[in-house]
Amino acid sequence: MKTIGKKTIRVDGESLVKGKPVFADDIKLDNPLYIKILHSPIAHAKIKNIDTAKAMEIPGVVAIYTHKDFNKHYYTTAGQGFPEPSPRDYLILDDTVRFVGDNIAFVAAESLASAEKALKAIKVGYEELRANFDYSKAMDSPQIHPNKGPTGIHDVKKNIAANLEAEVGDTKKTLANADFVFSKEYSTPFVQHAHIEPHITLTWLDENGRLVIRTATQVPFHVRRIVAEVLDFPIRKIRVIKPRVGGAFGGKQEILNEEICSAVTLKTGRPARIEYTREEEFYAARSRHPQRVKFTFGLNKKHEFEAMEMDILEDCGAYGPHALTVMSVTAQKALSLYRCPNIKLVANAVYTNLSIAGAMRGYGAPQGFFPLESIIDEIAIELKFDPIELRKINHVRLGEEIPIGKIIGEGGEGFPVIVRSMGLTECLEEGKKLIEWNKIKALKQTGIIRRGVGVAAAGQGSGIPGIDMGAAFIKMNEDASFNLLIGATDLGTGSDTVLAQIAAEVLEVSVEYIIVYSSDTDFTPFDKGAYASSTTYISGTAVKKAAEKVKAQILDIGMKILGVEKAEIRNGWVLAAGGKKISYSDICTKAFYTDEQQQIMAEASHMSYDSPSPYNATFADVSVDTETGIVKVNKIVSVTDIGQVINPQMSEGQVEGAIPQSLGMALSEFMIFDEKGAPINTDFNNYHIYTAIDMPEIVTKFVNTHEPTGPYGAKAVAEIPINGPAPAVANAVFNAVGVRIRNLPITPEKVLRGIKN
Amino acid sequence: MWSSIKNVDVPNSFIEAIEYQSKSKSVLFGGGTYLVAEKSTMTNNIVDISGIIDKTIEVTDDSIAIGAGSSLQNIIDELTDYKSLVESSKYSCFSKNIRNQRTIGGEIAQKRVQSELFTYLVAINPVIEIRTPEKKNIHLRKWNEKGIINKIKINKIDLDSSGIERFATLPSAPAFVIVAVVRRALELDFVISGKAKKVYGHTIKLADFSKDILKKIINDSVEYFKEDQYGSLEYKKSLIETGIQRAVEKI
Amino acid sequence: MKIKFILNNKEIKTEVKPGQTLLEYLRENSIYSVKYGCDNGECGSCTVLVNGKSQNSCLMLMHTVNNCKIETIESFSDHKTLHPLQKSFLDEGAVQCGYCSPGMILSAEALIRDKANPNEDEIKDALAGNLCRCTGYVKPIKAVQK
Repeated sequence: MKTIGKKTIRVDGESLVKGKPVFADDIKLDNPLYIKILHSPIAHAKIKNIDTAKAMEIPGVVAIYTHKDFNKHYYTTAGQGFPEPSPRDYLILDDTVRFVGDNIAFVAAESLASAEKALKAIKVGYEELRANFDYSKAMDSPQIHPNKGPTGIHDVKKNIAANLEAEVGDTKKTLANADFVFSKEYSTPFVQHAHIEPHITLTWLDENGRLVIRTATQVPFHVRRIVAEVLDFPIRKIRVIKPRVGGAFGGKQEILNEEICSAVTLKTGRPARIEYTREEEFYAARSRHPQRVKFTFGLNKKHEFEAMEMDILEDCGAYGPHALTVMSVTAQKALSLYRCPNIKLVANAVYTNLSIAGAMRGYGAPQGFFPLESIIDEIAIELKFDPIELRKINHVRLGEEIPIGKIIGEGGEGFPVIVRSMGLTECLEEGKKLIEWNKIKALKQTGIIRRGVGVAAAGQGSGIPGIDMGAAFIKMNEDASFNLLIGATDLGTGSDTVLAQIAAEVLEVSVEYIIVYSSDTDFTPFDKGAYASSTTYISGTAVKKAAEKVKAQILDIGMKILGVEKAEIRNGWVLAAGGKKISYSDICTKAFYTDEQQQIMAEASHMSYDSPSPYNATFADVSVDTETGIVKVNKIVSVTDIGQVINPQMSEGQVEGAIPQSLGMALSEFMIFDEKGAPINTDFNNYHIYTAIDMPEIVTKFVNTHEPTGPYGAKAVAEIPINGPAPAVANAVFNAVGVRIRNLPITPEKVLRGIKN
Repeated sequence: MWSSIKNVDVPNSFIEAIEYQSKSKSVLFGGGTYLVAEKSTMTNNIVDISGIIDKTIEVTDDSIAIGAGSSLQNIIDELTDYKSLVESSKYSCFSKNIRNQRTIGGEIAQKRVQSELFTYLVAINPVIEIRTPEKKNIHLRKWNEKGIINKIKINKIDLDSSGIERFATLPSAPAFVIVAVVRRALELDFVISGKAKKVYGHTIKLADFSKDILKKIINDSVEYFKEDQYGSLEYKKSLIETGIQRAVEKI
Repeated sequence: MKIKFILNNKEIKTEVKPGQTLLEYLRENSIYSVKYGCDNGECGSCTVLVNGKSQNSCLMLMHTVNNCKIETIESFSDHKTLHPLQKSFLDEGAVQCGYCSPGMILSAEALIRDKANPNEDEIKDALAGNLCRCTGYVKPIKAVQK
């Protein structure tokens, strides 16, 4: 293959290293309004009155909007396909605030400074309501959402946003008779995406009165649909443009501020801009769903898993975007990695008066793999059995059907899942070598610093089966270059490049000959957006199909021009018997101007009922200071099976970037709220993400398999590497000092307490 | 945009600087990294003293004189032999970009309890040259915060017999407990800080060093901390104890 | 207040508001490579070179820019060529979303101007003030080493 699997420089790379103005905020609006949001300082209250009179007097303030200025239309801010599998429990502005950070009013002003002044001058009268910040108490706490109005809430009186239950076989009976039974509970905290570019949206009315939304988003088409719905403005009059995005990780899989900015433009006729401050990013955006997961395992004497029971309690925060789907993924991924004939799942997502949780890389899988890979380790230790062997014995095999896949999709019924590519055993074996597992385990340790190794396995998916669809359009130019128009959304993930590679491979040209334009709802065909690790697998197949159609046209026209019945394409030429040949560029030039005139172009869409899982084994080498409990990660080895690697550097980049995000969740990142539900650590100093001096040594490797349902055999890579590091570290800490932490984060005090006991 | 700033004064002498500083809602501005990061709306007037304060670093046989306008990076680059001083400068500010702009004078004036460098300097207790605008030399611990810091004079012997320990979840993360210890001829100085409300300092005679006195230091200093996401008071006490042990070993 | 300084080899004479930061000034004047990430010096996406040293432009009040030589990445290349660091960042796959890339490249350049062959620790130290959530810093460090 010419481009697939070969090093390919990003197609948009030059503009990025040159610092060209390609991000959302890198344009000048003509006389814009700057929007600031008044956020609630109280966790739960009814707004009795809002007095904006003094604020309106501030020079530069143009308009202030409160709930009185909008119709009551319930929607979900989740960037998902229609009908959205999330509760419609959100109003653009409400007369009730449900968390510290909830929106009370929008100010539109001639300058940021005036808008900020106005925020301070708005007077709000509250009737404070009782708030609950503990999700284990949510079902018995004051009702957060009203009985009438919202739809899709599972049990509004008990604050249950979503519920999911599933069963295969009979776990109760099996557990009663199992040779070994283990049961433990684990939890994961609120963590933040911390993408360096904040949420930013610019809107304006173009020369034809159409609303243009230029926004940092993962979901341009969902933005268009939902803004149209919320503001009762026709879809045909909206254009959404996604420029270069400065990182997203799920945080921009949301309609966050686009509807607000659009509302201001539609109401005033003027361009508008809204950008979150870093502080707002921490409490008024979205975060990962904290989850408490209880696992119960039953094994037989051969160490095979016979029964698995999983009980999930998920904290949505004050509203429920992605509530059902995240915990579905938690369950489905965790319960699909190992064979087990009897499975039971009970999952509930509940409301609390804390920051809203939403989509975040892994989308529930990290919250499931931390408990899963921890309990498997605990079982191995209890049974005095090798943890790597235990995983090897039990993981699903090539060709098997995974029973739970059919039952739990992403929120509701799924589709049969058959494993058609599987490299987990090699991942485990390779990783074990690279981390020097045996060597570290054999160390005789006597000092203050103790070293340990840990392993974790993981799966994920490649798109949402039966739902995710992406489309591509390709048209040819006279110099044998091709315009590739795709809805698919590059967030820095490199999808523009990977999709160009696929097109280039099919068309037998080099990547420079593919001109990519993506994520503009006026010009590019539909794509559900960048989430669920779908772009390579789903959008990539659409590109492949479209390119194949174009190639067939080129061949057909070439044959017509040459006057032959048989010919083949090779490297940009149509070749026939007798030395007859014609180049791509000649074909296109003739087709434009003189012969068989037509524009060579084709489109294709792709949806799949399959969502093959990539597989990963992550190993951690840690050193624990037994006097302070501080854990230092020395090395992370991450070995992944993603089928055919399309762009090696980019795939490595995805793994390398996911690792510190997971380590952060394990060790140094967690959102903290005070007793009134107000967030405490709202800056990078106190919510600390990894810097260049904190990184452990990272070793990434790919194990080659071939996924028959994926373009050129490829599966997804973007999310899976975030699942393993946290449990691998927890397991390594146990190996080092015999302390088991089941509730992340692994704080130094927890470790030290464990050591002292 | 620091929207509350209405005026910037650039004095040509310490006399002018003190005059400008007496205007209401004025702050002295050296490097500005703390001030501009926080953009306090209570400040209307900046008095930029970066042009008049000393910026040199002078090393003699027994002492080092650091101009208050020296950047933290200057200190790291030029005083590489003084491990604890360099370490404290790096820990207190992991961003080289900020270190290029942040001045040691500003670091002292800001008195951040979380700053390893400030903590270390309190332990070393250098003589600082203050301009009011008259020149005065006073030990850091006795400074009443009036006047403009122009120079910091440290005895080499103190640098050589001092150690600092800090505990954080990551090298770049803010430390939750910092311990600095300096041994002088007949005394030991302990300075403890971090995520605390004040910097704790205590001096003991070398002859009095004992387990009991250490216990007292630990119990007294932990009063400045509170139970938070970094740990309980029990945990912090044990960190302070470990910190003291390790810092003392370094001396 | 009136100031004059050199920006990307061009002399600028301008009037500035007392509370204006260099980051704001630059973006208002279409230097878009310097970015807002946090506005308080914690992320480094606003990095510029000031007399050859890397600093956060969001922490610099305009009056302090007087008589300084300011460089942003716009001056590192033209329509025909790329600066060696830009080439190596691209070549090593060190650019993902690209938001932090100009800042990182400038910080790396400042280091290399000061010390021609920095070791890995020196590179990490120079880049520590540039936060990146995409790459884990692995390839950017390799790119600088090259």
